[in-house]
Amino acid sequence: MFSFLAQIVFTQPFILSALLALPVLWYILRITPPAPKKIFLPTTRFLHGLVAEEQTPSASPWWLLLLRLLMVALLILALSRPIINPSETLAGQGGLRLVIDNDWASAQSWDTQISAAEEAIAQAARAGRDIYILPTTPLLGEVAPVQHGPLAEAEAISILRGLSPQPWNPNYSALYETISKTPKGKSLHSLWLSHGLDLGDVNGVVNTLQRQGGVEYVRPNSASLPLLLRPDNAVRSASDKGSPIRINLDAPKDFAQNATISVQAITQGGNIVDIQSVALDTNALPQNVRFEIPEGQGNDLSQFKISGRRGAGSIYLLDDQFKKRHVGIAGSAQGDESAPLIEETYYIRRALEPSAKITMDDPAKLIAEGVSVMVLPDVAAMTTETLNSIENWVKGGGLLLRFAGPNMADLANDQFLLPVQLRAGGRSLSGALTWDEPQKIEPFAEDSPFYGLDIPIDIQISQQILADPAQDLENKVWARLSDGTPFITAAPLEKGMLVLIHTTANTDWSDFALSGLYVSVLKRIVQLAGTSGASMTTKTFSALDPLMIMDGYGGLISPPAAVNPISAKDIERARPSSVTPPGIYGNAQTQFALNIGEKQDALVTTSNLPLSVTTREYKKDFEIDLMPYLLYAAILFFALDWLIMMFMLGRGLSGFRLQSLKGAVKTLLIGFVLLCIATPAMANEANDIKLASGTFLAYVKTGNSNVDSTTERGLTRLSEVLTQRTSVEPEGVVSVDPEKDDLSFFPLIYWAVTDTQKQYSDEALENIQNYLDQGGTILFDTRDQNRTLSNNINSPNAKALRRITSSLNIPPIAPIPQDHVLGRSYYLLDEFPGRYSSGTLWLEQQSLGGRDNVSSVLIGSNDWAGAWADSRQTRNNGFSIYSQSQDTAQEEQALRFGVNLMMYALTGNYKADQVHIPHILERLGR
Amino acid sequence: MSFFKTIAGLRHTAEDEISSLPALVMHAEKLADNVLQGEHHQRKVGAGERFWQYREYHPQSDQPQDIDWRQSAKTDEIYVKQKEWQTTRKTFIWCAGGKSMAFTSDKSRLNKQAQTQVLSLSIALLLKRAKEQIGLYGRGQTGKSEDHLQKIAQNLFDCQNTDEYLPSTHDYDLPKHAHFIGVGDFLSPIDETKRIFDDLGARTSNAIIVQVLDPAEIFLSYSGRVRFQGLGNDPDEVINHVSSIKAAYQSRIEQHIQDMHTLCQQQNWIYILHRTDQDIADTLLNLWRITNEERVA
Repeated sequence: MFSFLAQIVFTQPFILSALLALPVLWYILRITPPAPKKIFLPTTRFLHGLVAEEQTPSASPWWLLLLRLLMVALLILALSRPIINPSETLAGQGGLRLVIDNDWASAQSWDTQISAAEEAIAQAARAGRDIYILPTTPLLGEVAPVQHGPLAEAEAISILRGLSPQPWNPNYSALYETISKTPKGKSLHSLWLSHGLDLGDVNGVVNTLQRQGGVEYVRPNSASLPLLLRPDNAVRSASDKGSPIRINLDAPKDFAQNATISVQAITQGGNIVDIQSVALDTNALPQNVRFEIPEGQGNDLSQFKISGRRGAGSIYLLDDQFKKRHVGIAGSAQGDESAPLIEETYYIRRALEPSAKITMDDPAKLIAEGVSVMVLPDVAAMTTETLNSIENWVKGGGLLLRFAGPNMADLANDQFLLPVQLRAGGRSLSGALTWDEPQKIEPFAEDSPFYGLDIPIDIQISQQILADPAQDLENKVWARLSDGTPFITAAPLEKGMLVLIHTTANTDWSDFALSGLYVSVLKRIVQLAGTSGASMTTKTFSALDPLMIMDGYGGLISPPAAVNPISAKDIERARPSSVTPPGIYGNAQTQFALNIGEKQDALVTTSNLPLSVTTREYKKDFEIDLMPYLLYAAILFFALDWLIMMFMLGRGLSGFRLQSLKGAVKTLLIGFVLLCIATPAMANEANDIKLASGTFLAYVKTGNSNVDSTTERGLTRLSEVLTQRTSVEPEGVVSVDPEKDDLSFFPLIYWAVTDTQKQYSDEALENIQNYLDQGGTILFDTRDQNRTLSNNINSPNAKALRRITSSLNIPPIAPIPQDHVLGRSYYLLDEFPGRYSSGTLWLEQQSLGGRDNVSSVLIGSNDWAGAWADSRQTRNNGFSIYSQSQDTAQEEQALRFGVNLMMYALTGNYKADQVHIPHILERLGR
Repeated sequence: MSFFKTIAGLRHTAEDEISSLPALVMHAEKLADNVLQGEHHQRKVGAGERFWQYREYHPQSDQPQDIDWRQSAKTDEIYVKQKEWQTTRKTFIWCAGGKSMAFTSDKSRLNKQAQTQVLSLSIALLLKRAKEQIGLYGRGQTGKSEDHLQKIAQNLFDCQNTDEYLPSTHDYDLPKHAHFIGVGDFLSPIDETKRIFDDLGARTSNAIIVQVLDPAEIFLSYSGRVRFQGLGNDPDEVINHVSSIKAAYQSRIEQHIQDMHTLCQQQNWIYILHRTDQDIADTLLNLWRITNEERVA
């Protein structure tokens, strides 16, 4: 509480001196109510000792006085404009070192950090102090973060702008070294603009920083602390049927309790298939989030995302391993209940259950169900019919995993559906009649799909079925025993694949089935399903190239050259770093997602900093101007006081009325004045009223001043033409910013798309979406017809357009049909030229109901605003330096399109109905 | 008596004028003109101006210069001419002053001071016309010339600046058997008044006391919560609900008036109560009638 109060600063402190007048006020108030009339009467002497019979209190009761004093005190306090957590003044002396957390966790608080840094830089520059900037995290491809400085203000700002969150952990040891290089005897005051988490040894760094001067540690508030998505690795009981898709949501313990966090499940195509909201319980972290993914869409999932949060930690990428293959185990659907623990299917089932959807049935039924992997435990002879159907299934792309066993040894002559030729009979490696020791599994070769898996040393294979040595045997071996005999062999069969494990699926022949390796091996084999069998044998398992990597905000980008491939051996142990950023690594066969949440230590906020380190929170998030609240409280007190007064004075009806009337007027007046002070900005509303009271042409501000001014001129010209020729008389042209402005006033918004189109925030996109949903129309103009005449779809502007529209829910669009109402709404037009004439105009295939058949978006590339602006130029100057067409007829056509467009946006399908007029007239004529 | 109302109206619009001396005098003169004149004939020989009788000269008792030779020449007797004895009483007028006199509850009305002054000056005028010796109590001797009257008027006018709420018996002595007319509000404690009256009563039994009071002082015509500010040392009285104490106050002030009356009776004096909302002329007539009765008696 004390620290809270200490954060209050009065911006107008001199007004507080009015508090000194409170005792005077006390005196004045004490006399009332009401102040007696003063009358000189010579006979006052005769009044002495006379007491009025009806005694009303001669002075206000103390609580009323207190109320009034409190009211005035509140008023004075309010006028002194107290602010909680105002701008901090820069502490310390000497140079200023800005230590900026820019690791994966900083994305959420990044803007706050940067604005705090900018403010600090401005203050340091004013004080003439040197500025040093020290990010905590190395950039991509680098190992150690670099300290910049000493810097002047402009340099510092430009370096600051160059910084961005990096999607990996900070390197505190390198940071420590960087700091140590600072020349001795130089005093630097360090301002650590942190994200609040201790991702290593913050204390150590702080100690070092402190030796070189003061340290101030700034952290975000509890709601801005980073969140992290972690894989759900928990082993669940077999009874947990359906195996829903889960993810763990982790947060630091200090995170705001019961904050509602939504996690989205997003498919490859960017569709959100499920959103789960959880109230974060900081006492039970990490919190498990369970998704209800529609059957069949689970395998399309590409990532989980915490909605509304930025950063690599709020995204969890999914790779092939996540996909749940439908695995069929050939056997009876019920299983053999007699001895479940030694049943082969039991082991297979337990191993695959976490990672696959499992069905047990007859092979024919399994094929009918469309499994992608079929596991054949050591089964007795199958009918030829079954074998044929299995073979066909494999040839069509199925993966058949077989286990050896006594049955297979017996049927050795029946070499059907096997990757290799087998020798008849099993080979017993231990037993009374053998001299061979039980064999161990050889470490997996680099070209093996199992490369990188650890082999427990205590696995012993005591019995196997040997493969017949053949020329192509080498290429088919995925794993060997220590004596070199094949242990796992595989071979493609047309589109499919056959895999054989040369021992039993249960513990009869080995204890392989008891090891963790069994699970890993089965999992990897199952994951191979669906990949082309032909490529399987090539040696491509060694290195996994980066396919897509994540940037600091959690967006996926194509990897720059500095990103190294990860060798398959290391992929299980890999942690995101500056050389291996999180992202998707892989090759044609397999994909592996490297996520920051995979091997991240528990999230802890920075604590136990030395006492001498000043710790505070960023102010911007919750700088609170207390004035309105104090004023409201004062008004409340005033009303209360008035009520009390009314009650106290309420004697005699006429007196009561008079008093209350006066009081009411007074209250209203003062309340009004106070409200006026309390709500300074009502101007916005006035603007809204202006915009709502007439038709305005609107365009979206692009930030590119050239484009904006052209658009403005063009729309002004169009509004002139509309006024001249039609009954549409626009009041003016307005530029809008979807981030700030209410779009709902405009029938049509012209949006000139530039390649520098900024990414809008979710609120802005929601604003746009709302506008479109509520019947608004946006004309997107990519203005690039001449640059990419042939393939407009890949121009930079088109990309920018895609960037905007990808976040919007827009129905399918199609080129404008031949006799669309847009060509008839005012003028009869066959084409819609702007500066360019051949671009196609796209609009919604089928407009949604309730929109009067007006498309919510129109997309074109003819640069209409440019043509409108050109026509103005031509008119005013006689020649145009802008016009590329030099064709005033074309400009006229462009203007006519503008008129039609406005009519279309305003009247909807009304004009479409006009088409039928000739028929109606004809009918009337009869 | 519409003239007075005219004057009151005049005062209302031009305050300064009425409070000036000429206005006061004019006011008083107009009042006096309306009172019936008369001289105090003693109907016996005396030091008068009117002829009374001729009688034979008695050398033992008459002065030779008193012989009316013209009459004596007509007859053998020697006559002396005797004039009627016309008494000249000395009448002293006292007029109260001070803050309490400046009070009026109604701004359209002359305050107590002005009414007192008008009343005093009017009676002085009347007395002067009756060739009485008049003087202001405590301010020199009596006289009956026009000049003297002007002086009296001046002094009367000045008395509003004094703080004499009761005639002082300390510094001046009323000549024996002189007549005394005291005009004031007499709101001092009755004991104090009694002491003064006793002193004065020892000098004369011919006195008229005119108590001038504002109706507000009598009826306490106020309401609500009032802080009453009194004279000089009197503490302020805050009354929250004035109407509730009206009756008690009225009984007190009536008691005071009754006491004043009793006091005058004890001295065999005449007591007149003048309320400022009454017509001054009525009071003046009343006063003059009593004065005349006294004179004739």
